[in-house]
Amino acid sequence: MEGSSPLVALVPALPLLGAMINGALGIAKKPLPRLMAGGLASAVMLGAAGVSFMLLFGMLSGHGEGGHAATLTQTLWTWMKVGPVSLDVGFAVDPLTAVMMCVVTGIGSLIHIYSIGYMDDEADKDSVWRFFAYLNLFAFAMLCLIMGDNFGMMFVGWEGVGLCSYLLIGFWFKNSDYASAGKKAFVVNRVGDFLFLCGLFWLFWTVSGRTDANVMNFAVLSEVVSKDPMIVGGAGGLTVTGICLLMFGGATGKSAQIPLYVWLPDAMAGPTPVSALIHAATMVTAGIYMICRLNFLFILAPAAMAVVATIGVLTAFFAASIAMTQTDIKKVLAYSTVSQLGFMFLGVGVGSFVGGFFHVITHAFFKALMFLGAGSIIHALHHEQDMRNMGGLRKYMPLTFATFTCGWLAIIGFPGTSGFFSKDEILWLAFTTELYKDLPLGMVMPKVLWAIGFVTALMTAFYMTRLMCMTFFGAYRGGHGHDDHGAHGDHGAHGDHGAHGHTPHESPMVLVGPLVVLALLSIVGGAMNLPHWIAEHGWLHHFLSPVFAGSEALAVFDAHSPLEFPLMGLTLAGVTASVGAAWYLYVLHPEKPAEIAERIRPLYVGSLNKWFIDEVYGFTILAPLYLLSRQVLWAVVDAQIIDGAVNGAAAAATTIGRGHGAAGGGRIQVYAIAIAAGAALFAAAYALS
Amino acid sequence: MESVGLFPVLALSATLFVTGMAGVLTRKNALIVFMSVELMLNAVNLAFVAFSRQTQNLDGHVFAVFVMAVAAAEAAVGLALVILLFRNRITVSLDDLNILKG
Repeated sequence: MEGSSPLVALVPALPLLGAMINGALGIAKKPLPRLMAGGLASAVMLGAAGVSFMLLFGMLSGHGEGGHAATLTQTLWTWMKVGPVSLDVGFAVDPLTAVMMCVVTGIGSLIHIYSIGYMDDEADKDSVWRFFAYLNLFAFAMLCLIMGDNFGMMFVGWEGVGLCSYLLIGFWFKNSDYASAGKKAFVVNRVGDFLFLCGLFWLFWTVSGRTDANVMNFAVLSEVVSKDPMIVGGAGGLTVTGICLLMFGGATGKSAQIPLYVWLPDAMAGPTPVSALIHAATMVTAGIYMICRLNFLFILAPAAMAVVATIGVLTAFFAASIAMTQTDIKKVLAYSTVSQLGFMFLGVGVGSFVGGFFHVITHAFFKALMFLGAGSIIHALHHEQDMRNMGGLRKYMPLTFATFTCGWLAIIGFPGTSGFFSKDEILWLAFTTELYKDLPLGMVMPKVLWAIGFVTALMTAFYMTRLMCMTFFGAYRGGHGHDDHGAHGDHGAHGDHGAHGHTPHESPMVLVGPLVVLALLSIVGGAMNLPHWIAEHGWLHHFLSPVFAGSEALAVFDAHSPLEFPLMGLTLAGVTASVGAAWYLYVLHPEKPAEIAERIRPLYVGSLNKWFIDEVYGFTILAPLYLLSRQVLWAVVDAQIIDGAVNGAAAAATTIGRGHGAAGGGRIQVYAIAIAAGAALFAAAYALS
Repeated sequence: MESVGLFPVLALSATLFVTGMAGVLTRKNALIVFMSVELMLNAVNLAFVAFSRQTQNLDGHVFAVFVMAVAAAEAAVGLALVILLFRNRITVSLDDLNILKG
């Protein structure tokens, strides 16, 4: 099943090389010219994408056991070795990794190319090389995360993407709001990372005592656990449930789920290509990827899976409720991302790892597309992000409009588009899962999960249609009153675009080109995993089966339920109604939304202010923490105990020194008396003994 | 020849030693202090010789000769120091020679 390939390490090495060249030249104050910096970064990503697809196609044509693809591995060197456990700088490409690699490098390449155009109005010449060096570094870290063959490499990547995310959110760090958004993302992620580490330690603690295998290696661990679940305390046991919950805690940080989702909306402070690449398509899906990678573990803990699915669907619903009223186009997309990530967790949580992962891919297509589309709009409108100042853009930006429409069709689940297949599969599998049947309320739970997911799908259709209407339809509302642009556009001059040319214009090809590619993928991407009622086996399902074979045997779905088509029809009808309602409110009667908002004022204010979660966290967590820090840790522990100890030691030394100094008065006869007294003392002691 | 016994010799030695010590500790003139140190050395010599005779062991004599040799060398160096001190400071009073304080 295994083969070695020297090409594997090339995939992460190329972006690293790009980051090093751009970074080193930049630090040496001889940065590459703008176009070359971007060109280099894009070229290495295209190279990595080329190698990734080569590996993928190689796996498709080569046949291992039972017609399944073989795993390619490459170990560069041993990082550390303790007893039987060896952490290697090694990569393993199994089908799951291969697909994810292609998504990351493929979409990454498009976004790198797009960034060349997006960043061309950066006034600060230092920004450009910095941006591309960070972006390449991110790609490297992300590839380490997904390609590493052991927990060590995964964790390096896990932390690496967090670092790059922090650097890129705070990219315009001269704006203190943006810088603190980066800090917030970093700190919130640390909470998750801590939980992840705890889970990892617990796992290691449990397993390493019971076997001599190198359990930090995923393939080995998978084999060991599949062979004997007792090694992690047995299926459904407290140990495996606890480990999985802690690891899922890490995922809630990285993948922005309740309760740690709060950083992602703020992360929109970064440049829009960053939002598309890191905070929509790749990094935030790391949590789902991790659960897919550890599917053999999670499947043994139905209770943890139930928590995953519940948190997922609640996050989906909650974030959608906030997205309904946001006016910043990137904020809507950000909450939409949180919501869609919730769907993915719902998918993996009900035991359909393929379904969840399928949604990772399709979401990467259409959400990257929409973020880049939003970036195209923001670029054309000179860093205007407020949808209230947009409108009617379909006339001015026809290509952006056309491609954005493809993304919109995909996310609302228009039949035939990629989002339709992936979302529908998740909802259907949530409805039919039998994973929880041994848990209390296990029979009702799938239906409840489905119901919340269903409502969320309708809300998604509504707020995405609202975004489309406010942005592309109606009359253009911008072009006057540039006063309020300071809030968004204060990170640099806007170059030579005619900063006050009030008519928006289509973006250049370098921006639109990637949009067209992603639009195509959003529409036809569903073909990679067609449902059973079209093709017998979806390609993705078949291709990934070596990875998920063990857990698929344990996750049971009620495949014969006659309700599949009725439920699908219900969803479609609901979505259509939502779209119609949004169209009615935001295009036909633009005055209505304000009236409705007035009528349901508490709900409206709550949603607009993100249900005051930031304030609640501020009051319940940050304020006590600040109080503890200032009043106890600073005023008492630091100022009194630590400083006291340091100053006290110094004062004691001074006092003792002064005493000795007084004794050494320079009078030789005083010394002589001391000697005599000492001698007398010894003599007396001798005499007495 | 009649022997005087150990005790009177040791008593004399002790008296000389204490006298020398008193001089070292109380006199202000460096030269006097110096002479007092010589007195203490010779008191010790006397004790060495007395014990040597008492125990019929020549080690005490050997030590006494060594002490005298060292005392002579010390007297040469010490007196040179005192003379140099006087040249530099126009005084040999120990009260004034106290710049080496802690």
